[in-house]
Amino acid sequence: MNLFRPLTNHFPFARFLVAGESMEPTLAPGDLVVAIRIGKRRPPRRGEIVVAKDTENSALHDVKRVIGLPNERVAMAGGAIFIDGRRLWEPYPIRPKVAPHSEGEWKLSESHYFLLGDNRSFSTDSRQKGPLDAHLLVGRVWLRYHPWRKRGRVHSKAWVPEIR
Amino acid sequence: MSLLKGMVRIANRAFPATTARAHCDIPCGIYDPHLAQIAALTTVRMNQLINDLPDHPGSRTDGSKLARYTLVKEEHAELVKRELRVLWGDYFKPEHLEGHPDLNTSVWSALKLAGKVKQEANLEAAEQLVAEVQKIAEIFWATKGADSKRQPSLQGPVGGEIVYPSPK
Repeated sequence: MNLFRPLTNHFPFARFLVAGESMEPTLAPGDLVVAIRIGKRRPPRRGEIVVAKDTENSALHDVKRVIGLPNERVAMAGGAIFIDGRRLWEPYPIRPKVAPHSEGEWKLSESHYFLLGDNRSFSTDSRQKGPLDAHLLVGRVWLRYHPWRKRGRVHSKAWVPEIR
Repeated sequence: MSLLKGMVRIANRAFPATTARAHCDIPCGIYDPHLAQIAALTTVRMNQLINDLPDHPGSRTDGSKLARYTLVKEEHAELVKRELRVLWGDYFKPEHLEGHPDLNTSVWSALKLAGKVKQEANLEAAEQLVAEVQKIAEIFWATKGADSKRQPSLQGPVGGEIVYPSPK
């Protein structure tokens, strides 16, 4: 039990230990990252990796990447992602290219985000669980400090031409 | 340096990192009772090797062998339990019980036997475990719509048989 938890819940930064493979190759199991707590002044941007509370159990946290923003229409077809009909450009490595990506279309409400794992074939995310409400988002992953050889800022840019 | 390490350790204890799950719950739907059979057969072999040791191992070599055989026996008995739990909990469904009403009893007694194999150096229990796992393997392949047959394991001195599917 951590007696400092009520205190640390209000820190602007939080440390997280990554468990599971769904964010590979960007984040591997065992990586330690620092996340900046998400406030009202700076909502998450597309491409950023975020830590969010589980929809069913708020004590559990998931780490995924922001793909769709509020009020957008996200579509997945033929291995590509489309935001409001325009193809999403993802410069970070995702895995794997060979597996078929999901097909589907989701219309996001004014408070919902669409999150995906980078390991697209092995990730449980908004494709199965649906878009996530903004109040469940805890922090955006800023940098990794363990393992030391992989230290540094986590790649977090993605954009759609014309609505960049 | 040790002072620094101590401070880092205290800081880690006071402010531990929260686990963020990058998880995948997608069921792959691939199940196979083969690993449980191999693990059960391994416990038989480990019991054979333990029985081959002198009653009171005096040398370091014998003591070391006994420790290794016991460790592997217990690991593989636990593996049998894990594999059976996955088959029972994830694969088998209530409708399978209609055609195979003794399925629950078989799994239950196999789990108990695996516990006994862990606790004791008991060749008889290990052989009973293999037999029980074979029964479950036959039920498994029957629910897949396949016939199955028992074939010699061809695994050297351990002998025994393994259940293989043979599509209809």
